[in-house]
Amino acid sequence: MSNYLVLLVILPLLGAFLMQPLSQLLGSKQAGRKILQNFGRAVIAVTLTITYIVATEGEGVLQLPLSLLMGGFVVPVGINLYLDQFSLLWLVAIQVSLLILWPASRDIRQHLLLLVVAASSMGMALSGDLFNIYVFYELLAVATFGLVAQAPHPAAAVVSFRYLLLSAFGSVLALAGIAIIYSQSGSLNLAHLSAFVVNGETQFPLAAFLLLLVGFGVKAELFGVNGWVPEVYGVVSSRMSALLAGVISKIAVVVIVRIMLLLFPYPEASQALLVLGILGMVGGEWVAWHTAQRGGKLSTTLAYSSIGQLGMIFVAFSFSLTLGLFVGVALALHHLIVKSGLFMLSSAQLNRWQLGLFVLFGLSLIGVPPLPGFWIKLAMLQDLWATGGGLEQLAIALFLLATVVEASYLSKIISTQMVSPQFKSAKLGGNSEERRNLNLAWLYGILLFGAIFFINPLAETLHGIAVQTEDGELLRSVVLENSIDPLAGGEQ
Amino acid sequence: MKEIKVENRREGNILSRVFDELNEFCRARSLFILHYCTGCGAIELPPVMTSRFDMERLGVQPMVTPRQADILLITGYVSIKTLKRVMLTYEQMGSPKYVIGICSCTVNGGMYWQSYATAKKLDEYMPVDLYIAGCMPRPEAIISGLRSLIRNIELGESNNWKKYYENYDYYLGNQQKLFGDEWQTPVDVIGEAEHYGLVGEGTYGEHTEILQRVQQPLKPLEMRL
Amino acid sequence: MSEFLFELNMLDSLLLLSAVTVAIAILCRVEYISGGVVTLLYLAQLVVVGMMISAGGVFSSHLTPQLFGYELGWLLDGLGLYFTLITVGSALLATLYMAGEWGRRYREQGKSFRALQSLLALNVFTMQLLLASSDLLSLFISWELASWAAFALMALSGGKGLKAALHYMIYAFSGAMLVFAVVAWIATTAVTAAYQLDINGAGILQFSSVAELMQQGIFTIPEQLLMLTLLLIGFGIKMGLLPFHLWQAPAYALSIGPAGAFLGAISSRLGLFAIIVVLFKIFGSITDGSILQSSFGFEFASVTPKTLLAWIAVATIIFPTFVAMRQNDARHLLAWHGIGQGGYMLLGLVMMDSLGSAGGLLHVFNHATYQAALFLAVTSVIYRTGTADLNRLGGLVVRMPLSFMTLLIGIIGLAGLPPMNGFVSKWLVYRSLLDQGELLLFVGAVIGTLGTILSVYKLIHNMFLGSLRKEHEEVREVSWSMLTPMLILSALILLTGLFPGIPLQWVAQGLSAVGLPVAEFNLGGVMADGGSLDMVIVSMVLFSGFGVAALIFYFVGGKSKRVNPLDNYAGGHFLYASNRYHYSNNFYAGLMHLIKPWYKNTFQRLERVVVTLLELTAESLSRLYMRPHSNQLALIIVVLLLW
Repeated sequence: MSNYLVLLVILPLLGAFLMQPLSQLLGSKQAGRKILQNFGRAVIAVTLTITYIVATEGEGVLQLPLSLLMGGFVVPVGINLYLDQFSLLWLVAIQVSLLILWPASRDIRQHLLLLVVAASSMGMALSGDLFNIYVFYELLAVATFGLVAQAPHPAAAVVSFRYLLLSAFGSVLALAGIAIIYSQSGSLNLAHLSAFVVNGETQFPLAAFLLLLVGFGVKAELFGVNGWVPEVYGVVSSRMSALLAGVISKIAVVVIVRIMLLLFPYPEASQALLVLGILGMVGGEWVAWHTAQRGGKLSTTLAYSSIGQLGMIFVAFSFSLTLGLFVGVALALHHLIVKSGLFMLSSAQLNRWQLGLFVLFGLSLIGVPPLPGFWIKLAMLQDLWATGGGLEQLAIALFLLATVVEASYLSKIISTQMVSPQFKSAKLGGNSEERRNLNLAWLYGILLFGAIFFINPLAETLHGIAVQTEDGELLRSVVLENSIDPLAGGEQ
Repeated sequence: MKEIKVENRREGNILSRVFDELNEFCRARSLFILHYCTGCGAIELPPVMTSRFDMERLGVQPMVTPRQADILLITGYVSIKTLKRVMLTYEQMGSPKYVIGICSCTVNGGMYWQSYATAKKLDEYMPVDLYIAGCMPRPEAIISGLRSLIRNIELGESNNWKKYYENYDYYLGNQQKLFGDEWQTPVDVIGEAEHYGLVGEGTYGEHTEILQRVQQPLKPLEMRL
Repeated sequence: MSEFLFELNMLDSLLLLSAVTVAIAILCRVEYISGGVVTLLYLAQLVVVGMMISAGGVFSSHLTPQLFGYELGWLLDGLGLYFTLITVGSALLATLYMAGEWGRRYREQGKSFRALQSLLALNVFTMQLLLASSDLLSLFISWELASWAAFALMALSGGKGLKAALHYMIYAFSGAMLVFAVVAWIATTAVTAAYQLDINGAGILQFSSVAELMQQGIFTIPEQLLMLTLLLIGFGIKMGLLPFHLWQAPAYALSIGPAGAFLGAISSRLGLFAIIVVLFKIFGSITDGSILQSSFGFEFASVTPKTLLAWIAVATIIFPTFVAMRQNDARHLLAWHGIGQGGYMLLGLVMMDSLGSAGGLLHVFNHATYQAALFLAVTSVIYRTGTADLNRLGGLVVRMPLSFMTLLIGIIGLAGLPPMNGFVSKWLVYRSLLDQGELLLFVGAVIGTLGTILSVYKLIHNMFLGSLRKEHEEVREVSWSMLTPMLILSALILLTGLFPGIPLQWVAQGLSAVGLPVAEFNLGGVMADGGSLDMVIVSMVLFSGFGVAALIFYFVGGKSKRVNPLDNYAGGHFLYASNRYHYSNNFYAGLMHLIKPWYKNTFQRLERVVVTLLELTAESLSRLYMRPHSNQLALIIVVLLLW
């Protein structure tokens, strides 16, 4: 049963490749077109079911992580797929978001590319091999190039090209980092590498970490390589923005965190992450304020805002203590929900109720009790205080200042919206696609609002995830000793 | 043989009758002159006020508003334009009030007895308590005049202000002759006469009828919810 | 269910009643009865609070949720009860004011009366949560909720009011973030300490537990000073302490009439409540060697935090009062005075002796009464004439005499003259300043009173005295629904001025709850060693003086006669109705000629500096992102990092 884990990557890829011939076959008929429209969603629904089955098998992965060998090749020669609570969380997040945000366009190519995105991001979350992650990362990047180029904006192609350049630059750096690691250790398997580190045989150089960080950080909107963010978010549709900002960036962050935890558990690495996180936070929020002051587009402001938020997430993850992981994951999840909701609301002019929803998202973003954003902020501050140190205290001060700046530009946006005539009425405007986007925002809003009442259980769940993730011993024991060989049909 | 002056008892409430003499004594020694100088005679006032002749030792000092003044000094000729303002000021003063006509122009026109623009006899327009003739009278004369006014007040003989209410029609007639039939002031003299209980036979007349026709009455602002 | 109801003690029932008020205000669509129902609910809340005060003691709520590993709780002691009384009282009077005709016209103008009522009720509810908080986390959470509720109430007026509300929001949120930093700091350290001491960490944020930890010295003195500074700044922003006061005047002035009365009366005093809690309950400033008295500085001169706070308070008294003198809008004038009076409260409390702290705390109540009275009177004038511009009003005393009387009593109270209640609290503060030998502070406070007297005279003269404008000749007094709260407040001011012992009892309960020394209060005032005050005697002397004057005027003197204002002396010149002989514009021309050079707009320039710095940083950072060659930047950064 656990073998089916690999289907999570294979099925969407297969679906993507099949879409082209299927469209040739079925494209002419009405019913066929309907099937094609929903094909992607169906695939994702299937993978979600598989996820559920695999996760609840036996004692469930919540108790014990699962490691699956590809093709029966033994670690470290082979690649393994590692499913623990952390990966499970992100798998579910990816799939659910894709289901919600699946575009309703008639263009088969979009569906195709999204399926590739699905496959590659799930692969990134699952994979336990460094180079395999890199491959999936490249696949994800290429798929996003295509998606951005297809955006309904005259500048889409140019923007996509510039994004490609930057991403390629990042990929070269990431490859260089991988090369350094490989040359020093001769292995590419994460668990194996972490065993080296723990045994004290090798200490991977900081340069490798920085290269990997910047390389993968392109997608994660890291400071220095996030020049593409405002341009891209300004051209793509709201749903794509939500996907990019909400889901894809988080997967990149997740990868970086895993690498840092396992391979670079020394303070210089966390400090580098902290510094880049602070820079990203400050840069993002300040420029968002600047954009809002100048009356720029809402999507551009939200783009800079997401840079800022991701900076905060980096700051949170830069502490490898359990609390740091907890805060980081909570912050990432919170941002996923809130940003997706905000991007949904950015599609059209808002009426009174939708503006209220915008206000709700905004308040949670800046952390007003009793919304979940407040509790996360509290945990973050406690985390930072507990770590101590001058840089951390600076991070606190800048973090709080960034929140005030956020409040400022969010309120500027809201008051600008209030001036529009449509605001007074309760009627909906915009075309049907925009209206559907606005309705989707309600889904996120209900999720956020509901979270208020389940703060305690949510906190405990996330805490459990954090504890399990930090436990490198568990990962090593599962992967190196207890990997499941699908060919053998049982434990190794 | 010494003449014994007989005092007239005046109307007032019961408390004032007890202190009547004290009232007159104090009033005579605390006279405020309205700082309103009409003509050339005003030049004689600064010497009277300043330290050489010092009328303040008599209790006489200048005051800025007619509401708080006792004495109206008409110092010199009164042109018609000025007389209008003098009438307004006189009517705005609170009783008891005293008018002193300084200089000969108030008595009989003086130097300007041939002029078309001045009023010749002040007595025709308002009741005058004291004339001080001269052109101009020296400070000693003015102080002497003030002293006789003070003595008159003490004896209760200077009540000419009542004559304005009791003979209003006569004075109004003279004013209308000079200023025209449309002449009016914001002050409701007849109303005041009735208020003070000083209506006499000369209060109403043909001139007051003309006034009633042309006057736009100024009602006091009543406080209301 | 009935057991559950019996389980409700008075605090729970108060909070429940408050929540019910919010619910009804939101849900009740029948707008013309919602006003009355909500008023009755506030009255019920007031009754409950009254019962709690007369019962004395401490009330703790049964509501203790465990969130995030911390146990939150609510507890009302004497101090919280005092502030709650003022809050509910102001809300009751504000709602009474808008229940009748005012609300009707508000609805006719197409605005949402329901929104106004609900936001007011929400404000009261969140304020009660704040005043009843018993641990740091519930304090902070309800602080945020109350701040945002106040923002919503201010923003309701739209237009310029919205801009002022946004300005407030930035200030308040920054302050809240400072407080948040300190709360998180304390929480982290306290949890660690609790873990080491092996005590239950859930209730560690209770004020008493935190105070104990402070006593045991888990923070060094510099750390404590830093915390205290941040907390004072954070809470002082809401209170309108210098130099963070710039938001308060426009925000309160431009809010909707009765809401402005409510906000001006009590909303900013919550900052004072939080400061008292922090200073006295957490940092234990009463004890010797406490943080407030510890001095730091040079060999020849040392400064204690107490002195610093006292001087900030005096600055808060003086500067806003003289800014108020220049205002031409009645509401702005009153709002600036509201800022200034907060300085008296802090000054009295910082002195920390029995008279001063009683004066400071009593000033909260007194200020609430006359600020509400003044705001309601001004709102009535706006209701009838449509303007609050002091250069466009005049002579309304003949048309709105009861509003005039309310305003008169209010400004006598604001100026702190007997027989009104303001005199008592100011006297207590002055007494304490003199007892402690703080002569310069005393002079500063007196300058503030002087400024107050001057500017409130301008208020009453330009509005009610002088000559009536032609367009206002048909103005009438406002209806009884609007007059009743004003008259109640006037009576309250007079009564509590005559018998200050009544509110002083509540003040005494508040002070003893915090640990400050309490003096012996009797019905007329206080008997202290330095000097005693008996308002009954003072008022009797004052009234007898007036009595003698009235006797002379009405009985001994001659008859008087009423005349028209145009029957007036102007150098003999005739006055015409077409000219206005009313001196209102540039009222203190002579004084302003002297002190105009001292108005340098310093604080506005400081604010501008901060904003400009922000804009500069944002501009330069945005250039980073708008470069056409982002790869170059990435390369540079990578090279830097690798190096």
